[in-house]
Amino acid sequence: MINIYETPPLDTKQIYLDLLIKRFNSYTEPAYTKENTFETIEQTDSDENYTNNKRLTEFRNNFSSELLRLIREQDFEYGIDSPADALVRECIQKNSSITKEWLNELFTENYNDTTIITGIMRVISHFSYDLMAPQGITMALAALPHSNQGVREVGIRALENWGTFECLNILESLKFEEEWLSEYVAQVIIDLKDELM
Amino acid sequence: MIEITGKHRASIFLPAADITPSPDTVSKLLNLFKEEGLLPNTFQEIGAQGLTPTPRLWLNTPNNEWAIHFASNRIDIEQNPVDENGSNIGSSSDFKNTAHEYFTRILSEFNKKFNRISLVTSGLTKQFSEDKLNEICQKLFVLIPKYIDNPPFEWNSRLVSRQNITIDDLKEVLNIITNINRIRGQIINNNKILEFDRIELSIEINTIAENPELRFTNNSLQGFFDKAISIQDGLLTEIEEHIVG
Repeated sequence: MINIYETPPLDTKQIYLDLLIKRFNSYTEPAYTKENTFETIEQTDSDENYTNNKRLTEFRNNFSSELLRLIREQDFEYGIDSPADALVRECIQKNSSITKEWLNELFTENYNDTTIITGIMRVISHFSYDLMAPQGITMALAALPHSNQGVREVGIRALENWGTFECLNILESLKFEEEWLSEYVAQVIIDLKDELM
Repeated sequence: MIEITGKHRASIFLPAADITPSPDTVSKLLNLFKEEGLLPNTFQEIGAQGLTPTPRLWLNTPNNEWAIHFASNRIDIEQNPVDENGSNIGSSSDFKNTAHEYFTRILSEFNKKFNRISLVTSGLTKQFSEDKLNEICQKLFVLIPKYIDNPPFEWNSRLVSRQNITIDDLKEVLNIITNINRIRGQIINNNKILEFDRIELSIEINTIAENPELRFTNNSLQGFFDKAISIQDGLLTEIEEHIVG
């Protein structure tokens, strides 16, 4: 009989001090697994979770620098596929779920870098709402209250590009101090209603 | 006793499958935590609904110091270190004040009660010499001759006990789990790598899982946290006296 005393950590990418500590294992097994939910420090990693975490690490290691470089160096033009778009498309073809998690992570880590988060928003707005959901919409929602006007604008553009009822509901609930932003949102709402209704 | 705090985590257990990464929920939570600058993210939860991973919502500060995970049947609030010394992390009491405030907002917004609560604190002690580490091992274990002749350089100890308390006039039973381990590893922060060989301490205090009744509210949090932190502090003092002398 397995007794359950501890409240184990969630099966997420985060483990105890995972950002900072690499633990040396003296055992031959690659992963420290537990069969019960007693321990809170050690993670209980299913094969699937292990694979996901490994893929996320690969994306971080292999693509983060490149994507950030592309975003910084290129000029984005609406309606035109950029090298950053192409990179993200390649990642989506490998694993769309992990790509979205990776992008959301990059977005959060670089929230104070308006160039980067604007670039990420532009890229994700080129993909469909369903493909990018749910992380796409969470990033757009996070962009809307940003202190930088440009970031707020690109969040609105993403909602406009996706053009779903969910996006329309969000746009209708927004209020901005800047008159031009409010007018822009009002026009987007009119256009979306024409399309959707 | 703990020189580098690894994590504080507080969890409440409740039906929370409805707190999904939907636009509506994300908007509510962004508004709830806008002063703190918590940003929305998702994670894959495995096990809640079979083997299919389910995207769940979490909020975190950009530096990941604070994170709130909304799983299907629990909500975790964590405070994590942002440098190799964990210099941003204060006492359990400091953490408790913030966690209490965050839980209160969430429970009020979503009108929920919960059936279980836990508090976990873990970290590393200061660096001891090899002789001292061996001495600590011998205070915790009665070693067989093999290990007296070949002193272990990694070991784990775990103790679980129970204690009766009262929360909100409810008689409750606590699990108290103490882990004392000797671990080796590297603390990596940006390009800085610090190798260590230290004692890792983890204390978890939670209400037992056997009672599924959704009986705890906002008001229960203070009573639990106060008691848990008192037990934790007492344990740390006793552990220090026993192993360090």
